[in-house]
Amino acid sequence: MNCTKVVSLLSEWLDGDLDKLTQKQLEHHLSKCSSCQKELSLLSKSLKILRAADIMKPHN
Amino acid sequence: MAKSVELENIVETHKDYVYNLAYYLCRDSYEADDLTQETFLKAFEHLDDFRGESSLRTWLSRITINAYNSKQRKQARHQSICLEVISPLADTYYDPERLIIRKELQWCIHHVLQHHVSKEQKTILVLRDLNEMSYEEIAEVLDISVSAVKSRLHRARMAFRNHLVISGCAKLMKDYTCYCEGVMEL
Repeated sequence: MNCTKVVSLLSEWLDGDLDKLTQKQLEHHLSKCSSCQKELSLLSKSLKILRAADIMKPHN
Repeated sequence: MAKSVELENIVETHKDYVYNLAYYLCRDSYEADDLTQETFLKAFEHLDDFRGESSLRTWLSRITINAYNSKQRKQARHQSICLEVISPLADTYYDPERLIIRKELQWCIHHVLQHHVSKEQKTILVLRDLNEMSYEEIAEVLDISVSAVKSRLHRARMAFRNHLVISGCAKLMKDYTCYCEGVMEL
């Protein structure tokens, strides 16, 4: 799995929506690629920030 | 069940969900109220057309988004967001520094959603990351395939990330004016 493919799957990986084989291949790549690790970290942080907007939910 | 009772039940069960979705889309409590009302009115008008092929929540989401899009088309003017209409933060204790950071963060989130991602991207981010809908539900609401949901969501999240994180978020703000010249009213 190359970097382009890994980056395209990060969003689904964060949602826990990848099949086991793809997940394993992606994690194997991530364990060795600092560039993709950085991509993952940035995406993950920005999603946490976006989901923090939930604290502003007006009705429950 | 009498139709009036059925309608009452629908409103009671789904009013908070519809309002929250409307609020995330509009970012204004008054507009969200109007949009919620419009959604239920449209739903009641067309209730007989609802065949139960999707869940009622999915159907109502679709009506809300269509009503919002139609409203947006009518309002072509550039809108700013007033932070005063945002409900109070959930902090249980008062910490001025934390409060300022939170407010800046809110500013960034609203601003990026409003001005730096497309309407299509904003809708999918709201449905998935703020309203926690499943891929399947989003596919039904937007009438697209699940794989299209995944690719659109990925692009939307990357666009959000690019503006919020890579651009430096708060560093871009100067007197609450973004590089896009969208000015926030505080």
